[in-house]
This record gives sequence, structure tokens and C-alpha cells, in this order.
Amino acid sequence: MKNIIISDPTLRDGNHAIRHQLSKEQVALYCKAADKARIPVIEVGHGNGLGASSIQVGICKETDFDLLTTARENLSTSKLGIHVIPGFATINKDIKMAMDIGVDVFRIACHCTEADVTRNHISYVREKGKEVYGVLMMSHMASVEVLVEEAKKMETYGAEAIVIMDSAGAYFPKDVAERIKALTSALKIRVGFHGHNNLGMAVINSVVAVENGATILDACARGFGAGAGNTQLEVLVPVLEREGYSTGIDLYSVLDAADIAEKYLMKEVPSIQSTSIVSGIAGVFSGFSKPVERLAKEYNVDPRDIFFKLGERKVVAGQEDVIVEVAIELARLNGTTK
Amino acid sequence: MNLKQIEAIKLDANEALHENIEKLSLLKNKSLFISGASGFVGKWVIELLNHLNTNHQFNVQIYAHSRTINEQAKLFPEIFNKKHIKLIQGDIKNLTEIDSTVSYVLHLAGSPDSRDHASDPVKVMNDIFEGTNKILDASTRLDKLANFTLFSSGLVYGTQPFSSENTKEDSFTGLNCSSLNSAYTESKRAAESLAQSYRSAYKLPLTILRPFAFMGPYQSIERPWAINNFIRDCLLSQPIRILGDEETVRSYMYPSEMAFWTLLSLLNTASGSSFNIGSHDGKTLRAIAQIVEQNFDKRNGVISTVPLHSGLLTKFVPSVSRFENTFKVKLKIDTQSAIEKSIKWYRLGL
Repeated sequence: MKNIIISDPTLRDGNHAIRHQLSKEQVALYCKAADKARIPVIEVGHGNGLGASSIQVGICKETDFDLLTTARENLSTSKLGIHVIPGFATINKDIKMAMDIGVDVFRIACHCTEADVTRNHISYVREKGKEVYGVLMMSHMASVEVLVEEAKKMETYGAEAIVIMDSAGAYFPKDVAERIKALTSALKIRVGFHGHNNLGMAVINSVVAVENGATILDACARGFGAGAGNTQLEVLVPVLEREGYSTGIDLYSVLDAADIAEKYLMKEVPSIQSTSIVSGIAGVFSGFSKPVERLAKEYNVDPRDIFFKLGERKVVAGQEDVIVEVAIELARLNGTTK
Repeated sequence: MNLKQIEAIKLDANEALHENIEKLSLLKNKSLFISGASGFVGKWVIELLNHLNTNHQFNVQIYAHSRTINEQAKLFPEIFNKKHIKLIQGDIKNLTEIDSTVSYVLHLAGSPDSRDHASDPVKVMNDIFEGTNKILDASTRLDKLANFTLFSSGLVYGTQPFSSENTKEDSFTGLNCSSLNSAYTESKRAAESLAQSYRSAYKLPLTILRPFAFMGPYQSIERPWAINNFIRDCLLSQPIRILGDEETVRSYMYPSEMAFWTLLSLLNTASGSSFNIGSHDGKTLRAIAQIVEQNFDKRNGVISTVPLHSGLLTKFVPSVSRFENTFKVKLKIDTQSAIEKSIKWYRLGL
């Protein structure tokens, strides 16, 4: 039976859904439940990862240090993982601290065409003997050929696995099949998939990913994550088992963990809202939904128009200031300028 | 690097040379120019030349050229701070002149780090091709030139069929010049062709060496290569993680032997010949991981992260018969011994 490693970013991607306001108490509670369920990797932190807390992308309620030490104290069998975007996180300030705290898995991420910027971070983590993945975000924005080339760069730098993110929830199953097949054919290392549910495809896309050779899947309790949410963990696990894949996760315990996440972590369970659908169709980062909704109200414009404009401009995570620019532009065109 | 490690290297140099002094006697009282002298291969070649000068009165004058030679001389004074070594710091692409007393040129410059190849392929290609052109051009003006040895790469052959015999000097397969990895390989191939063109046009006395994999002192344990990582995992008391297919086959030549063979290649009399340099003793990654693990008291196991026979099996093992027959030598240190000697050396640094 093929073994699939589930990496659970409920406590990282979920932070996007509540403007990065997860508390230490919530982290402790969910980590205990996830650990009991034997989920292999629990990812923790600000939605945009280590060192990202800022006015630009949102101030985190807790420091990275507090979030990670709390998680570490409450995980015994599950590995502790972090999301790292070079630029937000630096080696000296952030990665060394995370190593001291005892983080096991470092997922070094970048926009899908910019693997070059991950070299120092990936190399450093690999040199220190920790597990390091390369993560290509917004992967729908690159052609299959470019994606493979960028992934090979990360492999060369020392990545032990490559995860592609469907950050906008824009993929259809055939898109996932094509990309995962190309990556598993070209790489010597493991390949993973991180889905979002904007178009209702997250679970089936994840299944298609493993059918085409992926061995790492990301999934969140109740899909707690940016936009319409991520692949729903407690759905994915039994679906995979039924399809003949092993996850090593205890079903009842993961169902309990999802109940805990819904009760104690979320203000509302993620659902496919109109803006999420538009975000998926426009191919815009799911994490933009909160700032888009806020700025649409502020400038009295339709949030769906903002998403389509952002899609035309091929905006990526970290360019949140462009949302304001687009909102102002639309307000001017509509004659609703403040 | 501590004193015990320095002494261990001197012992290795002695072992590599003690029965072979006569074979290198033509180098006596000659001058040698080495590009890329501060790299792994350069350090070992100079280490052996220092030994010959100190213990066997070879009186070889060395011109050691590299972009970072002054910094490296501060880090490794035991190698570079010698009366018979002149340090020349500079970019090989800017080289215009080599000292007129030089009889042998060893061209090692060019980063073998695959991370550089992926990050800055344009620079990699320029460094290799333009650098080779500059040093060849300068060498044509040397009246006493007896040999120019180009350190190429075992990658020039292209991907070898897994089931094939060890790679011979004429085992070329097709290369995909569109792939990301081709920048380094294609520029090495072009550098070989360029050197052969100089041989033909200017009667340059030429040897081409195609190196495979080496393992041992002076090599950074932190490079993301399988054997380095296996040793590092054990030094950190972690399980060994095999990435990629564990049936992948590799071999490792110990650097003291590599340096001796490199010096021998300078004495090649058949201009234009190419030789593989490396170990013919191939082993699977699984076997290599087990050798590493068995050399540590605390064993934490071996983890393979990719299913067996994933379809990406590769083999990077040379046939070295041509070298052995031409220079009348035999590989003495097999892959297992190379790994064990390396581990002992790294442990001296703890």
C-alpha cells in the first residue's frame, strides 16, 4: 500500500482566515488533537510563514517564537513544520531560531517562477541536516515546463521534496495530473500537492495528485485556510484510505481534531463564497479574500471586480498594496472615489 | 581544520606517493601553473607537490591562480604559504599572461557546484568557456610548455544507460541541450572542443581529464551530495536519509589518489588523449549508506524516501582502464575504503 505523508497547515494557512489571530492556547489545543491523530506534519505560524507578521500582510497575534514553542511542547509523534518565504524570513533572525526551538520540517516557498531566491535558505537548512522541502506557490501561473525547471533548481539546492501549491484554487484535475506527472518524471525527490477549494476541486485534485505520483498532500481541518479553504483533512484521509493509500492517521482522532478546530479555532467554517469562486476563476491568491472584501467596502466597489482586475495584473502574495491601487482605480472609474 | 586533520592529510599524501616518486621525476625543477588552485582538487594537487618538494627535493615552482587565493591562503596557510608557491589572485576570464618559466599548465577553474549551475547558468558558461579560451591562449605563448591538462567532467558523456558497463572514454550518449543541467555540461564539452582546436591549430600538448566523484578531506561535508549528507547525518546522530532511488550507483575516488593521477596526467605524451579519473568500484546508494552507518557506534537506521525503482535510476561510474594502462598504475583505494578513510578524517575534526 502506497504511503502518503499528510502535512497539516491548519495552524498556518488557517491563520489567513482569521487575520493571523490564532492564540497560543488555540495552537496548543489543536496540536494535542493532531498529535493524537498521528498526523505526520503539523505546520504552524503566520499565514505567510515565518517572519511575515507586518502591516503589509497582517500583524500576527503571537510571535513566531511563542507559536512554535507552544506547538513544540504539544507535539510528540507529529513533526513540527514551518512555511518560510525568503524575504519575510531570514536565516539569521528566523531560521536559526526555528531550529533552536526544534522545528523538524522547513518548507521554503517562493512564487512559482522564482526558485532562485530559495537557494540560500534551502542550502542552509539542508546543511544543518534538517528536512527541507521546496514549495512553489501560485503554481498555476507557470507553464508545466517552467514549473519543472524551477522545481529542478530547488532539488539542486538541496530540497528533499517539492510541493506545488494551487494557491488560487484554480486547478482542474487534468491540470494537476499534467503537472504532477511531469514533476515526478523529472525529479529524483518526492512531490507534493497543496490544494485550495475555490472551485470545489481540492479533494479530487489531491486524489489525482497521488494517482500521478505525489506522495505528500497538504490538508487542513475543516479546510481551515485562505479563501474558500484548503483540502479538507478529515475528508481526504478516509477518501485516500478507501482508494488504497495509507496515511497512518487514526480516523476517529482526526474527526475529533476537526471538531476541535471548528469549535475553538474558527469564527466560521470556510465555504465557497462568491468572491472565492471569482478568485479561483481569476487565478488570484486565496489569501487576498479578506483584504479584498475590506477594501471593496471601503471604496464602495464590487469585490469581484477587484479580483478580476488583480487576475489581469497577475498579482501575487506579498503584493497586497496593489489591492488598494486596484480598488482606487475601480472607484474612480465607477465615480465612487472617496 | 585542526592539527590532527592536517597530519592525516600529510600521511595520505605520503601513502599516495611513496612508491611512485620516480613516476613523477620529470616534474623536478619545473614550473607549474594551476588555475582554480584554491578548490578541492587544487588543494590536493598542491599538497602532493609540497610533499615532493619537502621530502624528495623536487624543487617544483607553483603559480597558484584563483579568484579567492589570498583568502584561501589565510585559511589554509599549511598548504599555500610556501616559498615555492606564488599566489595570483584574479578571474580566469581576465588572464592574459602566464610566467614564461612554466612548463606545465593544469586548468581546474570552474565551479562544480550544481547549485551555481542552477542559479547562474550564464556565468557558469562564461567562466568555463571564456576562462578556458584565455588560459589556452596564454599557454600558446609558453616556449617551455610540455603539457596543458584540462580538468573537464565525467558528465560530458551524457546520461549513461543504467545497465551499461562503466563509462569508457568513447561512451557518448545524446545530451539534451535544452535542459537546465546542460549549462555546465555543454560548456565543459565546448571547452574540450576548444582545447582540441588549440592542439590542432597550435600544436598545444594536451591532456583531457574527465573527473567523476571524489570523497575525502577538504571536501565540505555540507554540500548537498549523497555521501556528504550520509556522513553528516551520522555525525549528527540522525537516521541516514536516502533521497532518490536507493539503487542509484555511485563510486568515490579518494583525493590523495586523485591528485597523484592528476599529476601523472601532466606527463602524458600522446597529445589530445582523454582519460577518465575516478573509481571504477560502483556501489548502490543503499550499500553506501550502510557502509557509512557501520562506521558509527550509534546507528539510527537508513530511511529511503522514494519508492524502489522509481524509474530514475542512474549510474555515474567510470572505466579507468585507459588511465591505468597508459600510466601503469592501479586504483588502490576502493569506494568502501575511501568512505571509511573520509569518515575517520571528519571525526578528527569533532
